[in-house]
Amino acid sequence: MSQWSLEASRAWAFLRRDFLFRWSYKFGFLYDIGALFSSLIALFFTNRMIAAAPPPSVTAYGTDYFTFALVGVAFLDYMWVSMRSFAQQVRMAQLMGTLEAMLATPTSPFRILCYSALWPYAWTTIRAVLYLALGVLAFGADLGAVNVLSVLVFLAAMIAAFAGIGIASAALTLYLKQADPITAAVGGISFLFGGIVYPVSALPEALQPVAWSLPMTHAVEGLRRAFLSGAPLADLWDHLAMLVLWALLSFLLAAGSLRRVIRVLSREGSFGAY
Amino acid sequence: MTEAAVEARGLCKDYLPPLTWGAMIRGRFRRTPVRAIEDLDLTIAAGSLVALMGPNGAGKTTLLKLLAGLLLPTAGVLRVLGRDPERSPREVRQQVGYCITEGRSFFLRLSGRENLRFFGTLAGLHGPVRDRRIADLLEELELADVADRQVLSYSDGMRQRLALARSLLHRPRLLLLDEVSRGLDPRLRSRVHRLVREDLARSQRVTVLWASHQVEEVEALSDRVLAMDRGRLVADGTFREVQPVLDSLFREDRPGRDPR
Repeated sequence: MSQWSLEASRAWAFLRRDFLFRWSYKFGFLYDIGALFSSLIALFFTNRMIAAAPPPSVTAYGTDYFTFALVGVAFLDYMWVSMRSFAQQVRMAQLMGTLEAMLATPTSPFRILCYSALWPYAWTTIRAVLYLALGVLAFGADLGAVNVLSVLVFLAAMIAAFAGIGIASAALTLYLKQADPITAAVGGISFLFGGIVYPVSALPEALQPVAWSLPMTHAVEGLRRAFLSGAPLADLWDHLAMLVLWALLSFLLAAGSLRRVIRVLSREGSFGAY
Repeated sequence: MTEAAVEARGLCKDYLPPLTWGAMIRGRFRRTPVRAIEDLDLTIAAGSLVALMGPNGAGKTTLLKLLAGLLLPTAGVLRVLGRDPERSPREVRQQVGYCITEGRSFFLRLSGRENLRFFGTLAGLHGPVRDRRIADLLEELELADVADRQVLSYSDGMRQRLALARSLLHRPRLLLLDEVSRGLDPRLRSRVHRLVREDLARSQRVTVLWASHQVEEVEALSDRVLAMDRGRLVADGTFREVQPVLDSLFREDRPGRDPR
């Protein structure tokens, strides 16, 4: 068996495990779907309230507020899942007592961590597609100009930029055995300044440089222009370059911190502790 | 000369206790390590069945975890199946089966078969080969009838057998068992004994290191007995040779100790 097919089979094992686990909690499964509707309805009524005089910073994208915010919110989950799911999966394995059993296998800790996040990404993708489809079909959002290639490339770059932060955060969780401060800080700042439910130009001028230093701002800007104006990659290279830079830096941080933490815990003997 | 499955020279393992509030407030962040394994010299020949005995806190589980590559030694030299677990963790784990009998080490809302499928894939098996191996082990350990039930509903004995099946999935050359027969009724215990002694140790030449508190099963099964106390190896020989030491270790009026 080749290394690739072995790794594909391991990745599938994690997806299957987490799907079966999630499926076994039936109400939680249904609740996640129901939550999509409530978020859409809130956006829809906000749009009706400001439809008569939409802010110019939104109309600059050639769309209404509902469609503007729909794209931002649909992809906000990718940021949360990238930053939270690695640490959450580690914490859950610590509490459930399955972490040592997984680490006793020849699969490396880095792979265990990466594969553990596959289901959260898959589930987020299902929800994002449902969210956008409902927005278009039930609430009349206009996504006709979408440039699919630009969207996919930006999505991959966004996931890479945030996954590095997420893995570093998981390493800290492994060591501290509790929720870490990285996710809350980066997530909170990104939500406030990342241009998700309002454009960056709506922020005070002094805060706009802060916004443009964040990966979220470039991800949302690129995705929004690819979705709403059909912008090709050639027009979005500056945002893409920032995301790639963030991805490289955060993965360097992640690989270093995870290796260090695994070594320290193996020496201290506290893998099984929670 | 017989090949060694395990070789340890001057092996030491320290645990660091968690920081207390008092120490943090006083600014004393240096923690005093607790020694769990002390200067252990040990050689285990390939294909032998060795029992590991000692009171609670003697260092048995720590030794098994060191051999499984889950812990790194503080000092000393350790070679497992000819390799250093610190330098070649993947290669060591590919050939070692560590039977973690902690009942929570399974995904309780998944079935026994799904758990074995998951851990089997992590161990490097897949497709029909993995599924056939799982079916054989479930049959062998009398779990076939309950294989598709959630592990949540398993008794302690069923979880013990499922843990043994998990550790055997990838046909390890070194099997580390920690209290594997605890919670089994006499018939199942004897079935597990037969599997370990006849099928694994005798027929397949798997090296077995078996931590146990059951004096009768150690006497009946093992080629050699290691007695540990307070992190040290205090006796090594046949059951008869080691028995006086075991008697003194398990004496009722002896004070206990837990290193963690």
